Order: sequence, then C-alpha cells, then structure tokens
Amino acid sequence: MGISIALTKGRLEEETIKILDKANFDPSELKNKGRKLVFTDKTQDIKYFLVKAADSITYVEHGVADLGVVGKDTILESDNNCYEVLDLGFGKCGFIVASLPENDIFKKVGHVKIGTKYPKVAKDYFKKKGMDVEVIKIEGSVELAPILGLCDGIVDIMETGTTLKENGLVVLDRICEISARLIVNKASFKMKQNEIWEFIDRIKEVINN
Amino acid sequence: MNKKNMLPEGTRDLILDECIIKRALERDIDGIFEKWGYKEVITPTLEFYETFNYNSQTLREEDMYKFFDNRGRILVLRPDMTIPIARVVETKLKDAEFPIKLRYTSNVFRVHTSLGGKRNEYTDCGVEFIGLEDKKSDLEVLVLALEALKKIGLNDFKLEIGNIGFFNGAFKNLEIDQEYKEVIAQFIEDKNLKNLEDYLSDLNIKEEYKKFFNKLPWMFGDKQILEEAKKLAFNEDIKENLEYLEQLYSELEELGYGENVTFDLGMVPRLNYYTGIIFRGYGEGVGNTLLRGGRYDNLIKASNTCIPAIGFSIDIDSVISNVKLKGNLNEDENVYKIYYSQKNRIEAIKKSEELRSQGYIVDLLPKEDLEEINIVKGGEI
Repeated sequence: MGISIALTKGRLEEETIKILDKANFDPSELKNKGRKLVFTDKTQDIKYFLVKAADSITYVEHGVADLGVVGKDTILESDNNCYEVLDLGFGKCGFIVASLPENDIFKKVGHVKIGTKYPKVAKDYFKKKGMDVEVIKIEGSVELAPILGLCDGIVDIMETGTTLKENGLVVLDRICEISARLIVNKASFKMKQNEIWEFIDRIKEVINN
Repeated sequence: MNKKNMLPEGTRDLILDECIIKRALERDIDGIFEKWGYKEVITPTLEFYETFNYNSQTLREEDMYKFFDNRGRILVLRPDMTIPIARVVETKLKDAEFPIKLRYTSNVFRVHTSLGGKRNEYTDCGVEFIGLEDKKSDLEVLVLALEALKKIGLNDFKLEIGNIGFFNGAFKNLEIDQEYKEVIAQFIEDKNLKNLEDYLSDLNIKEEYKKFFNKLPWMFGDKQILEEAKKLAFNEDIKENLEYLEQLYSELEELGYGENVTFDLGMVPRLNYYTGIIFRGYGEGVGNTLLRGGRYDNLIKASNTCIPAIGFSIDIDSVISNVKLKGNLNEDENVYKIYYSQKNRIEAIKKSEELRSQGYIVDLLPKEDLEEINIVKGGEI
C-alpha cells in the first residue's frame, strides 16, 4: 500500500526535503516543482504534496494524507486528533509573551488585552496562569499592535528576537519551544503499519545522527 | 422565495445510492446483533444536559447541542447512546434479570469545530452487554464487533485491542497524583513522544517507570507485541492484564479471526471511564476510527452497586463512501414499471397490486394516449 505525505510549504519546506534526501527517499520532484501540487517518489510508492501548515493537519486528520510535516505552533493552535510521533528538530523557535517595557502585563491592574496570531495558544497560556485576558486576533505584524495601543501585550513566535527588539518590545515569558513535527493519521497508522513504520524509522535515523 | 435552502453546518442530506447503502448497512449490522440475542432500545433524541454531565465525562460542554425547555432547563441532543442506555438500565430495568443485552441504531449529535469537514449528526449502531464481568462477556462482544466489521464488506479491516489495566497496573505501587497520571495517559494516547519524554524527565519517579511509559506509545502491532510487552512488565498486575489479552487472542484465533486482530497497549483513552479492555476498528480506505468500544464497569449503578458492562458502536456514516452498491441486478429483477393512461388506470392499479403481492416493486407511471397498459420488467426502458 502506498502512503501520502502532506508537507508544509514555505519555512519548513527546504529542511524537510533535505531530511527526505538523507533518508534515501526521492524528493527530486519537490526540488523542481514548477506548478505541480502532487509529487511522486520514483523510488517507492509515496506521494508528497505541499500545502499550508494548518491544511497539512486537516489533510492528515481526514486521512487524505497518512502523514504530515508541520510546525508545533500550528499543532498547538489547532484542535486536532492525530498522533504526533516525531520531533524533526528543525524550524526551531519559541512562543513568547512580550510587551513594551513600561507596560508589563503581569503587573498591570485591570483589563488586559493581548494581540496574537495564535488565539488558542494565548488563551490556553493565560488560563493556566489563572489570568483572565481579552485576546484579539491579528493576522500579521503583531509587534505593531502594542505600539499603536491596540493591546497591552502580544503572544507570538520568536526566532531570533530581532524584530521585537527593533520595535522596543521586551520578552516577559517564554511559553514553550517549537519545532517541526511528524504527525500521523490514527487509522492509517494501524492500517498501513509497516509502510509508516519504515518511513518513521528511516527519518528517525537521519535526525538521530 | 423566502425559503432558506441551506443546512446547518455538519449535517447533510442522503439521497439515492447513499441512502440505499446506509440502510443496507444498518440492516445488516443490526441483523447480526439481533441474531446474537440483543434487544433493541429506542431512546429520545432529547435528554437533560445533567444526564450527560457526569464525573467521568470527557465531552466538553461546547461539544453538545444545547437549548432550553419551556421551564428553562438545559436540554441536549444526545451526544452518544451509552449514557441513555445506562439511564434506561438504572431506571427501567433495575429489577430485570441480568445479564441484559441491548442494541441500538440511533443518530447522535456532536458540535465539531466549524469548517472542519466533520459530521455533527451521524448514526451509531451498537450494543451493550450489561451485568457480567470481563471473563464472561468480553470474548462474545469482541466476536460480535469482528462480525459487524466483516459484514461491512471492506477489503481489509482490523480490530485493535488494548487493556487499560496494562497502563493502570503500572501505577500500583506508584504514589502519584491523578492529575499527573492523566497527563501521562494523554501523551501516550496521542503517541506524542516528545512531550511525553519531556514531561517524564521532569517527574520524580523511578527510571524503570519512565522507561515503561516511554515505550508504551510504540507498543502496538500484531500478537508479537504481547511477547515484547512481557519484557516490560515489572509487576504482577501488568503481567495478568497481558496474559488476559493473550488468552483472548488465542481464543479469537481459534475462532478464525487471527488475521484481523491487532493490539495497542498504548491505547489509554478516558481513564476514569474505561475499566478493562478497549478496542477500536479500522478499515481499509476509511480515514477515521469506525468502531469504538470497551469495558466500563463503573458507569451503571443500581441499588448502590456498580454493574459491569461492555459495549461498542459503529459509525455507519463514516463507511458509506467506501462501500459499493452491490450491482443493479437485484433491482432489475425485482422491479416492474407499468405505463398507463387515463382510461386504463384502474386496470393498471389492479395489475400493480397483483405483482406487488408476488413480491415485486412496481412503479406506476402515467403516459398520454396509451391504448393498453404497458408492463416493463427491469429498471429503465
């Protein structure tokens, strides 16, 4: 039985292809993709397709793809029901809470507003902290929101911290670490056990070395 | 046109072939349950929210459709059938002679995340075997599950069996808060290795336990996995639970189901609900779990004692698109069409009744200017 894998395009794409290469899979079509959306492995019965991060989870959850490569940030933000079997070790960054230095949200008295692209992550985090905050969904350039006064603080992904610094924001807390993960559809893992095991084992060998 | 020709999210109409397939599946599966002596139960679609708000409940409030009755009490569209059956047993059958074997085919309702492409209304076809402990009823229910899966007619299917006792056994001499136990179980259930490892490494428990829990997510596969699990078993409880699975396997093998049975010892859902074996059914080409079941000995209470029970249900809707209609042969041979006009319609109806009494399906179709009725066998002309 063949397997199909939903890869996240963009940030994680290049590293994913590198790992596939090292594990002796054949991602050659992915390297010269043109306008194609579905790519076949010429050495074995595997189909790859490139989708947006959140869609990778959706495809895997419905079993349309058996496996998926997706960032932990997207997994945390979704309400999914897949196995998360491997930490692929690349695409590393972290979720952080930040605000302007003069407006520390943990010291503020009264109503706190948090701007974020990740409302679920933000809500879960503040719930754990026992804080009742208002979460405002922002689609991009989250750093701008506290500067303009839309919110008091932000929850966002931080890779190097440069953008935050340039905008005068300080990190108040690190919520958790993020990296690319391999997810598996629950039914596929049981029905195509051998094929999926083999894939995981070969990938595992590459990341462990 | 003021009609709103739209459906609420997560619901759908079934027409023609889909309908035929669904009804055939329901009939076939329900038929098996009936032949094994299970009695049908029909319960209301509406229940009080309170009924579903019990302490081992894992459904969140927002996962249920809720509204108010005329006195302001909260009602729900039933999100599953086991709880209503437990309610029936506790109230109406409490003095009946146990064991009781019940079956149902009913629609259940769940509110799923918006735009996720999931069904919010689907049909569950299932059984509950109430009143006997594990060794006296597990095997029968497993066989019934396998028979039901076989009946669906997929190319390949697997019934995967786990035992919550295997996981719980490890906690026998381990002083640890329930809260930690639940987190560990959740990571194992999701086969979330990274989080499990990180979580365990921060926990102050013996290495032996950590090793055991870290291995659990991978402990699934065919019967050989039970052999491997033996090496991990570090106390009598775990061993006993393992031996029980071995025994079930050899019995199922003897009955000819060996090929279709696998194991997952890392299957640990709903810790305070399930009390013994847990099982799930998967089918070739079906992207989700199509059968779920397990033993729950603490749910049903009558005269202050818990009544042991085991059951499962099949999500019929999830397989409709994987099942092919078994040809049109039947249809052609059993169907007549009678064309008639105004003047010979009495004759047409009489003739049609005559054919129906012989067991045929007869479709009456009016047509302009026919001197005599025209009887055609089969589907289209």
